[in-house]
Amino acid sequence: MINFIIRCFLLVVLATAFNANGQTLKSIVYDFDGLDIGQTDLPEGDYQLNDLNYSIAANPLGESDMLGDRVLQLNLNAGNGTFGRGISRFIEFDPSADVFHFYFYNPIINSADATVEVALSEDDDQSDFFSIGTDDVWVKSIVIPRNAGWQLISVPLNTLIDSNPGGNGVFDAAFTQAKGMLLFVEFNFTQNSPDNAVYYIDMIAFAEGAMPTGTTILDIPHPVLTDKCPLGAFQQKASGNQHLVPSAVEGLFPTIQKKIKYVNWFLQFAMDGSTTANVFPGNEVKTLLTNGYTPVITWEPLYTGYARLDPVQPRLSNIINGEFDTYIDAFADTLKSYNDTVIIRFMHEFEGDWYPWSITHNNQDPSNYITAFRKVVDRFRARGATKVKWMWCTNADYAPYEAYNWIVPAYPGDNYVDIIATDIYNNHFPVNSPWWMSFKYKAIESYYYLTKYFPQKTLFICEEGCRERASSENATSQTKADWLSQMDKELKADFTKVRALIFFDAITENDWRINSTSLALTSMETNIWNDDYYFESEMTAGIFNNKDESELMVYQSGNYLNFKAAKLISNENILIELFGMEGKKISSKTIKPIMNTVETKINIDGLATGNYLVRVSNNDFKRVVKAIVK
Amino acid sequence: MIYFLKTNQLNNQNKPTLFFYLIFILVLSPLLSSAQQSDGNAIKIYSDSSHQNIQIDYEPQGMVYNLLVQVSDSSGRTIFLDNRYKFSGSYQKSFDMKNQKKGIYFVQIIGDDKHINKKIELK
Repeated sequence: MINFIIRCFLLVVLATAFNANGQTLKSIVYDFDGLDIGQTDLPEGDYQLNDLNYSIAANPLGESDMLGDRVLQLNLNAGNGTFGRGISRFIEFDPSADVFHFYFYNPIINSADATVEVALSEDDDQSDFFSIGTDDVWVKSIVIPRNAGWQLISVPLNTLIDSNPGGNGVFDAAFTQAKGMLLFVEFNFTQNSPDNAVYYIDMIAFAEGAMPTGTTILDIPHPVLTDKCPLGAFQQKASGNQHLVPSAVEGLFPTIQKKIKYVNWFLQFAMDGSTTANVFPGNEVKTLLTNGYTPVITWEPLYTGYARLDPVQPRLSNIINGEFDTYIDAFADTLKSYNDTVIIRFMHEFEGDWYPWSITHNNQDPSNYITAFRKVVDRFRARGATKVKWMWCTNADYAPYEAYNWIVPAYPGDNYVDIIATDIYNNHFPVNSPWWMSFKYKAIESYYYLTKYFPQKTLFICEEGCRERASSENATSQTKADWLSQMDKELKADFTKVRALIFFDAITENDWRINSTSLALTSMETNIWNDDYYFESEMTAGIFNNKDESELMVYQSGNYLNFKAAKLISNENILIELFGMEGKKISSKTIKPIMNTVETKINIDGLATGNYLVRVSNNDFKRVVKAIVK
Repeated sequence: MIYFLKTNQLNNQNKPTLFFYLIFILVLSPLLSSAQQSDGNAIKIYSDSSHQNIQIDYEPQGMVYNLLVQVSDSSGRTIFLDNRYKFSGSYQKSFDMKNQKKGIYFVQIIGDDKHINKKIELK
């Protein structure tokens, strides 16, 4: 009983801590980033009704980190009109805490306030579609005055009113507990004057509490650079040659010598065309470990000589029944011999439908996946291979999109998982379609669930890739280079718990390579390779009293870069220097910390917009962080 | 009663007389079926025998990555909405209209690069 009470208390403390800042982005309906100007067919289920039409436009008030350079322009010609999006997604809502947000610009040139009814529907009869006879529609009417700038409109879910007699009258969308999908989001406009009106809308999203922003509503949250997000890579190498990956990646950036940390590769049970599990890691593991890299072996119960879903492929029941015990034990013995940390990513992307170990191809029951995962971990431990770290890796997309496929019930448990992960791609389906999604749009739900339900575990992005634009796409739209730059900002603002970023540096159905073009490579170098945030460096040791609690922030406010470093280990003078990206020093100042904290402003009046470097140092440490001047 | 508005094929349950058929083709059809007719031959919208449900049958050509079917009334209120990812095969859906007012309803079927608009009248 006491144990139960303690657990409950810890749960309350944990929940309180998670909600402490009250600003957690949960799901993005649309951010419109990367879409083409003039585009009217949006990805994933948009629709319009009556006297309203819409198209993608350049941000009329200029690009910002929050809104990007693309927004949706709404033209209301007369009477009433609707912009809507079919969602059909399970989202774990808490109506008492969650808020629906969107940015809205009603220009002064319009003749009247905008009157809009926000409408959300959820699936009470769990039919996966909306029918007015059986499902709720939650609404709130909002009057948005004309304004010279963007307005952030926030609608707490508990202020919505059920406008439809159908349904159960409870806002209960969720994966679990016999709840249903969020089915659509609509903006129903009413014209208040005989004149046409032009509105703009962007960043339509759900959050726990307030929208996470920076200094202004147009800024993303300030980066907190106290922790690190080391890099890794996968490259297509011949079997046994993965130790060559680091030099290949690091060689792309010859002017700045740094080391990635992780090397990921794929090992299937059989790779010789047979159905005999016989593949083991080789000397490449030892070479990588000797050179200071951490191997990430993506271990797949798969025979490469057959199609992935061929009946001959292993299923979870085969693992559970012990048919691979001898092989698993031998694999464990191999890794045990290295006597150092090796990460195994076992049965990844299990909520997809493309692998034989997926939930959907194993009785649609996540308990089978858990049992198989645990069995393998237990066998490793029984063999003494205790230095292996186990990665449980999800995918950002579900296929099929069914409640049984939700990642959370498929978690093998804290005792069986050391690292949680997700895979994020800016891809397009079908190939050659013009879909393009920002990193934040694509990753936020996966990130939210992983950090909410498993906050105690280290989080990786174990596969990351962005495609290049097809020649048929508009050349003025966001490039892969721009996408990488945006990802860099968002990782440090909205994804601060990510502790590794592993690039899928290869060509498959798309060219995901770091150097797919010279522009992409330059962006990678400028935004990521030059940024210490992505590298573990011994130079940083000693600067902070407590790495987890310390703070180091650099962000712009007007004509100044605000600099703050807290919880320093001493009050010894600190040199703060501002450099251009080419290495030319622009300014410097020496500051004596007060109570182990330094807080100052760096004048940037007259500096061109772009990226800069701020170096912080004293006799014992040196650290470089990137600063962005807008 | 609900007229199905398949462009050139009539539903047996509601087959009108030749006179009304000609009136329909010459006068009402341009009013009732709007702009884009892609895949029009593969769509059927009709009521069941109780006249309390609308049935939508659609045969897309190949896999549709994102299929949206939406029905609204004349005031712009959504009556039915179904959003499917990676849809292939025949789309067949029936939904309850017994508590809805008589009048014109609008059907949108949006599938990747196709956008089909139809009107139906609930009498």
